[in-house]
Order: sequence, then C-alpha cells, then structure tokens
Amino acid sequence: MATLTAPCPHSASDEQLLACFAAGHRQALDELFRRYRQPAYRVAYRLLGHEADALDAVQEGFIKALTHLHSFQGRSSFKTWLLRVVSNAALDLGRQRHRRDAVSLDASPHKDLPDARLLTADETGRQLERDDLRRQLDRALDCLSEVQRQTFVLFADGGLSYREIAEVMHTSVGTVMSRLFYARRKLRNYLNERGSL
Amino acid sequence: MSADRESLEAWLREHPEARDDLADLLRLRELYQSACPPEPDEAAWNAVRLHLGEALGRGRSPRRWWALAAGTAAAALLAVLLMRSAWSPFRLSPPLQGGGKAEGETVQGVKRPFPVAEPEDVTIVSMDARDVAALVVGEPPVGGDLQFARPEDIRVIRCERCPHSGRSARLEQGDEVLMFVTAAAIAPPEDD
Repeated sequence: MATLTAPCPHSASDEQLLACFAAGHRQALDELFRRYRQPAYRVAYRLLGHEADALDAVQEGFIKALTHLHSFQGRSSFKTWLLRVVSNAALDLGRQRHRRDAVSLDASPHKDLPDARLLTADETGRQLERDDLRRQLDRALDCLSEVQRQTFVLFADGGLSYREIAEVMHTSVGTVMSRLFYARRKLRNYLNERGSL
Repeated sequence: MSADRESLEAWLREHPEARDDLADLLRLRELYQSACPPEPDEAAWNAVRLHLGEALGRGRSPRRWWALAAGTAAAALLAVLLMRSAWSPFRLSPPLQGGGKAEGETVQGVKRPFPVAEPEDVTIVSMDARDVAALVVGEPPVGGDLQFARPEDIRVIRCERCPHSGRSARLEQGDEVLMFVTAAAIAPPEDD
C-alpha cells in the first residue's frame, strides 16, 4: 500500500485514500465515506427495507471494512470489499430484526416525496408512481432466497460485475450467473402477476 | 473490452438461447436502479459519519494503540511482581550471604517486601475451613519456618459485636476447625 505524507486530494485513488486513512488523515475517511455511502446504503436498504436499519448496516459495514483492512489486502477493489461487509452486516441485522416490511411499517408511505407544494401535478403523479413501483420491487425481493437476494442486490444496486459478486460471496462466476438467472425468473413472475411491469 | 465482458460474450456465443435472459436481466437491473430507495437526509448521513469517526478513532489511533500496549505490558509486569512478592518471602527472607547489598535489600540484608496491601486494607469476609492452613497472618517479612496454630492452641476469650456492622458472632465447631459465624448468617429466616 502506498504511503502519502501530503493531505489527500479528492482525486486520490481508493488505494491512496486508504493509505492516507492508515496514516491518520481524517479527510481520507470523509472522502471514502462520500464516495461509497450511496451504493452501500442502497444495497443495505434493499436487503433490509428500512432506512434506519440500512444506516446502521452502513455504519457497521464501514467500521468493519476499515478496521479489518488487513483482510482486504487489495485483492479486490475497496468498493467490492465494502459492499461485501455491508451486505453481510445487513443480512445479520435482518436476521436479528427480521426484514421489516418497508411498506406496511412505514408511517407515511410517501415520506420520501419532496414537499408536494413545490411539485406540479404531473411531477407529483410521477413521483407517486415511482414510489409505488419501488415498493413493489422491494416486495418482489422477498420472494427470493437470502443468497439470491444478496446476489441480485449486489448486481442491481451495488453495480458489481459477476466476477466481483463471486469474490464477495466466495463462489464461482457460474454460481453467480445461476443465482441471477433464478432470481430474475422469480422477480419477473412476481411482478408480471401483479401487473407491475 | 474487459476480460469479464469478453468471457461473457464468449459464453453467450456458445449459449445463444441465454441472450434473451441476459437482456431481461439487464432491463430488470435498470428498473431497480430507476426506483432506487429514498436517500437519507444530510443530518442522518452526518450522524453516521460522526459515529464512524468516533468508532474508528477509538480503535486505530497509533498513539492510543501504543499506550494500550504499554499499559498491558506494565500490568503484566506488575502482576509478575505481585506474584513474586506474595510467594517469595518464604525463600528470600533469610539474610543474604556476603557483605554487598543487592538492589531491593534492606539494611539488614533482607529483601524488601513488595507493598501489596496494608493489614488494614484486608478484610477476610469468609473462607473455607480447608484453606485455613494456607492463611498466613503476621507482619511481613515473615522469616524462618512458619508454624501454624492448631485448633487446640486457640482459646476464645470473648466475642464482641463488630463496631462497624453491629453484627455479633459466635464460635461454632466446623468440620475440621472452630469457625466464627456471624449473627447474620445464623439468624433464623424471617416469617412472611
């Protein structure tokens, strides 16, 4: 791992940022967090279906990923390593708390909507449709097994390649493809039956 | 083209029937990406970032790491010294031979005991009768051969109420030796 003495620029590579972090530069943590909080959150949210739980998983995932960097050893990208830890943390959390039904437990099903007074009728309609679609998609994930769900979420929300997912899940690329094939079929059936597509 | 993409293309050439499946999978991915979860507000992110900094700051500061290591080493050394001081009087108490004084000697040539606790710091609340033989009572350093009192060597003249707790005690014959039993322990259970 490279070592840097100067403050880490925003354009630094992940490897340089990790070296900065190891050297005690706080800005490196800020930058790593800024870069990867969103994919980490999306993966965690899809696996947990609840914002607060997802944030807990992201927090725990970042802590574990950065305190166990010796296990990382640069064999994969930091993003892959982080999403592995975050998705495992989310699954652990989900087992403890049971995956919450984001739709039924949400006090306000449209709480992510911007202030309705600032939207036109068309925009509000589109936002509601998007919101309903998202809830349908989240529900569809419940029909997958845990490994299928993790595989699909890492693919769709984490943006990982087959090979990266295989690294994350300690399996072969062929197994990843097989899991995605069955996940796709189940999701498609679920969504077609409910006319979501 | 990346190696992954090349190998995928090669696989698809061998399995053309899977092209539709792959296209459908990519459409599904786009659909999920278009309906991404609602983002937390900036305050929620800041709270996570704050906790992150605190948790990682506690665990990975090199200075704190060395402080912890040094503290552990010091504690281990102290434990060794305590154990030595607790058990060594039996071996070290005889006067040393020769005129020179080694480090830690008193002027009488006797090893200075490591201060573990003052007599008033110790209160024996209870102990098993079988351990009585291991109890050493006296002013350190204890020199020469130890002689333990036998039960018949002890004569209880008077039992007084404890001025601190107010409890009284009485002497009872244990399995092997006489035992003092406090009033609290021998009081009959209260009726409900």
